[in-house]
Amino acid sequence: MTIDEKTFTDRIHAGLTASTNEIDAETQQRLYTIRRKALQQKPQQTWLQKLLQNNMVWAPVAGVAFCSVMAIMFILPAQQASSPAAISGEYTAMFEVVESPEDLDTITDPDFYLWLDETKPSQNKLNSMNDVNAYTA
Amino acid sequence: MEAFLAEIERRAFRIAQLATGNRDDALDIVQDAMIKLVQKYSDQPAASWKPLFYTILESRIMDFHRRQSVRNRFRSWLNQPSDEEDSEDLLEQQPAEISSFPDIQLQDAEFVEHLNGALSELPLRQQQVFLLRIWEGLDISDTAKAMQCSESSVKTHYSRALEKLRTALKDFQP
Repeated sequence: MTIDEKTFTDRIHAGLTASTNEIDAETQQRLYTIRRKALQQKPQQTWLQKLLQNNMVWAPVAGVAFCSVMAIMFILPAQQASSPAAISGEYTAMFEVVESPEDLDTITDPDFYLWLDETKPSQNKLNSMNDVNAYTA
Repeated sequence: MEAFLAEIERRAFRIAQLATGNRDDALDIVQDAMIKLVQKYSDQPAASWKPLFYTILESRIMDFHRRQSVRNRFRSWLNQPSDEEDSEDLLEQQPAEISSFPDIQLQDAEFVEHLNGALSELPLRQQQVFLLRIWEGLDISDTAKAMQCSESSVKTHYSRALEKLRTALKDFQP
């Protein structure tokens, strides 16, 4: 700040200060009333300050503990039941079938299931095959 | 707190009056700022009251001008005559309304009269930055916080205000 600037701003400062001395009486009275009204206000407290004042510090702790228990009881089991690995395995098998149209045709054909039922080895056949194997051994 | 409020109330009123151009609006703004300071920050150290008070005061002044802008736009939509013209940034470009200061019985009363006129003609932000820096003695950092702008903006507003005041008051300079 140069000397000229300092002189100039000092003069402005003095002029502004002088102007406050000429505030009319009514305005001064209103300013006084406003000040008294403001000073009668009670300081506002934050919710944390209110809790501390009322010895309610345990309330937020209890809230956090309750939320944690609820999360353990409900959210985590639900996440495990539908784990991403299990879901992705099911979807992979489905997509493999859908990807090859021939397989899809086969699966949707009722004759396929009839043939599968006929060609399924019965328990007797399996037993006899085991006997043959034992004999040859 | 009472001594602090008593010490600043007149200056705060003048600053608000220069910004609004209206005594009643200025008193409302000062009242809001005082009440909020007491309610929210009375437990803060006394040294921080001044910047906090002027931050609240400037916020209220900006709110006042935003409301005025909305009202003026609404009036213009209704094809009613408006006192101010719309612009891209009304707060930035709008000159403060001319306030009516009583005659001051001083040797340089003429200077004060011209000063009030010149300050009233300044754009709002330049005017408020200049008053906070010169009259209230806030540093650049506190002025930037009070005006909710950057420190470089404060410097720019201040230098522009000073330049305009120098031009407007050139007849009174040594």
